Amino acid sequence: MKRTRISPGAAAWAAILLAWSLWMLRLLVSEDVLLYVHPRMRVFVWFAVLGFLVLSAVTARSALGGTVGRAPRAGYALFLVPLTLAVAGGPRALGAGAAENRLLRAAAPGTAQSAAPGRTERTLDSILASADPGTVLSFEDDFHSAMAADMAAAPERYEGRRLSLVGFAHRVPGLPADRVFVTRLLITCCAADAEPVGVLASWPGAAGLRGGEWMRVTGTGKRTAYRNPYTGKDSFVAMVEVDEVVPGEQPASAYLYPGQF
Amino acid sequence: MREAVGRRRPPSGAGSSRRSEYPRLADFTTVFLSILLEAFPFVLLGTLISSAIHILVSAETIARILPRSRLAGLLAASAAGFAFPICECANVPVTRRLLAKGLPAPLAVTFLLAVAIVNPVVLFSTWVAFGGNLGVVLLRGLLGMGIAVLTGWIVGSLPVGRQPLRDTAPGGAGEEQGWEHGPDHGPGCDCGHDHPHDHDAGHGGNRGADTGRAGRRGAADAALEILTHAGAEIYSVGRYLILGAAVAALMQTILPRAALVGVGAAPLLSVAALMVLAYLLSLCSEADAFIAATFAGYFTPGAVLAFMVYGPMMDVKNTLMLLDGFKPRFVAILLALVTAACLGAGFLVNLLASGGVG
Repeated sequence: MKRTRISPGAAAWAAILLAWSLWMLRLLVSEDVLLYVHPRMRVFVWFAVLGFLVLSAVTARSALGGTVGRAPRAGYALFLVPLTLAVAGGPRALGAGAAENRLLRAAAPGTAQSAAPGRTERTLDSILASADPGTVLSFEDDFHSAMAADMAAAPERYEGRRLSLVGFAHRVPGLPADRVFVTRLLITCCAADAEPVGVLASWPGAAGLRGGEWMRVTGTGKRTAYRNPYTGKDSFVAMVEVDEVVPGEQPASAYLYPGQF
Repeated sequence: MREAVGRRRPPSGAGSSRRSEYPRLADFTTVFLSILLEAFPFVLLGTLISSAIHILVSAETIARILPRSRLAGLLAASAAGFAFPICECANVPVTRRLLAKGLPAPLAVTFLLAVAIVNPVVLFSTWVAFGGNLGVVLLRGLLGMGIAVLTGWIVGSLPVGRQPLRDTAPGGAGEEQGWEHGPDHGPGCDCGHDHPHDHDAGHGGNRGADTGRAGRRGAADAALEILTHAGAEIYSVGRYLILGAAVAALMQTILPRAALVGVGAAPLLSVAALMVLAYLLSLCSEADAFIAATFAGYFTPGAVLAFMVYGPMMDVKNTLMLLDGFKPRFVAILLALVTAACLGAGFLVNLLASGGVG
């Protein structure tokens, strides 16, 4: 009777491909994948799950045939490093500390859009036009970053309006103690391209906030002078003069995701 | 002033609201995994395409479709992204395979450098990121094409450009005939297969020179060979992707971007600063325009353009992936040429923008 020769190297590689596939599948099923990538990238991760599964099966078949690498390669260990980190740390979103290394978007007015040009402006225009002065304009995720950018670019549109948003406290150098940027992280493809999107807010209690504390602030928009901490240039931005704070409130989604295109 | 009681809602994803004792390590891990989750689908696609070329496309076919004129060939290679919109993760295995099949090095290099910039997805994302500014889109596309063509042309005239792949025999189109394993795939190659010298070993050595044989064995056999080869090749490319992603994630975690703003107005230094940043951050070319847009208020126009042109051509991630299949000397020369070209182009844009030329 002919004995089947099993190749340990190929068997190990098939197992690693299978482990990657299962890890990605778990992220997709639990939606934790959104802690790492933009929702539109999910289809590509599904492709990788299926691809790795198929490659794992084909490699396992080769292992049984004994025609593929005899011994496991040292490099296989590299593929176990990310999996080990993922399992040990569990799924996590980027922390507020990630904002410290990055340039704050609202501090550079008018430099970026968050969705297809034209469409965003029309949406913002219609939102602003339809809201009565006394109505609270809540920063919904769909247009949060566009509105934050617009507050820096056209502060007069927000003067006297009631505004409400959720974010974490983020300070930039030179900011007075009673002011913070209420900030969210925005990702375009994956967490590696995360950018902090901040809205300037002011109230006496801000002085006691630690960076990274989540909250909802509600207040009235006011045009105010602002010195860019990175360039030293002066400009006017819209700031929320806060009269209500809900400490600890966090958004339903870990990040803001710009419009899908 | 009211302070309400907090209504706590966790962000999507179980456990994401947990605070880590080591927030920097947690952020490093998140960025590291996110780069891998974003890149692996495209690396997988690249290895599948590469393996399909390996199994199904003969060197003669490559030779037949090559344009006769060198300039026409370079221009076609630089615009191939419109027909073949792949990113800077997928292009490395595909380019390697095309070279092994006999695509001349100048065309392969031009394709490698241009395809992650001059493609509709990347140009559209640039348009969106810069608020519909067509000038930025055109400049990015034209600089990308120009630098890719120039570098490809120069590489073609250098001795190292004649044989850029590791451990390979001279590989002109047609010279592969008779090889069981292609020049890039045989005993001693790193794809993970055993390579017995029995040329009938049925695990999918190079079949490109003999498409008739693949045809005879049918589509199912060919598909199995492609998958077997891709399963091995993803190990070869993926380990460098993991190393590159680790370096990029480390840089993302520890490098403060605001520190670079001090040189943001200097015409040459600003370009160099954002090129170094682009190299270290290893962003996807679909997303880098959004990051570049945040630099627009702080850095010169040439620096912002150089960030968007240099990053997709050369970064930590794809340099390591290139080292897997290409000779280190070739990779070093390519890196030097692209760096010099992007630095020069960014500086020139700054001179033109400030009225310093003409």
